[in-house]
Amino acid sequence: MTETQPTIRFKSSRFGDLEIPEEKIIRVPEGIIGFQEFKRYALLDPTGGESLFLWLHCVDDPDLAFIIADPLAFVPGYRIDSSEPDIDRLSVARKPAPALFVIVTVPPDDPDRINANLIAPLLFFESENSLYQIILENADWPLRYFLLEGEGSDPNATGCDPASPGEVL
Amino acid sequence: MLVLSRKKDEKVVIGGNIEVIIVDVKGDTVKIGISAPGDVKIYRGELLEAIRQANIEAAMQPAPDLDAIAKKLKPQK
Repeated sequence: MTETQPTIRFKSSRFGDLEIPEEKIIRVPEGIIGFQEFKRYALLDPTGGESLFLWLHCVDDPDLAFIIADPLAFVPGYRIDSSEPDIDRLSVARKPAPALFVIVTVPPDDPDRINANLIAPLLFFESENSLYQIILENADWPLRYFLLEGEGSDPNATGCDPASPGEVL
Repeated sequence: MLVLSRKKDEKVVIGGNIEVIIVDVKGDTVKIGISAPGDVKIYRGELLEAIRQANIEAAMQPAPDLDAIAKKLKPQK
């Protein structure tokens, strides 16, 4: 391995010892809500692009990591209105379009209740390697969108029904 | 905590550049208007707290079997 790029090493309680190029560090100037003191993260893709899910892993705390995903993969109509105060506050219109992610929660005792936070998405400005969690004050996207059930659907009516293995789409 | 009584159309000024005005009072609902510099974050308190709780829950989780979950998701694209 050549020593051309400075790298940074950090520990992960989930993935062990990690090392990434320093230039890949993502700055989160305002922090993730509830974790404002942590400002440096790395984007991890343990499957090498195979999975819908990525990890946003804090470089400065081995325990702090979020599963994130592109919301358009499971909510095709998801959009952020340009009238949102945070869009204006972050001058989004004057920068290259950010990549959009949402934080995903997988309850350990019931993984089928996997849900995504659609009301507070993440904007990743790849050109400046910065990421912000914003809050959509004017929208009514759910705080917990259940991926395997769909919003507002009866959890007993859909999803894990082994009796209908032939169902496609 | 500072507690002030205000009537409709009266203001509170915070830090010289943030103004809070009582727009309307109806029953137990108070409508307020806030003028602040563009870089000031203004959120409803209960929404911010709900998001904070959801984030904490999301961060606490052990690494789940994401492959198994992804297989259950119906393709939508």
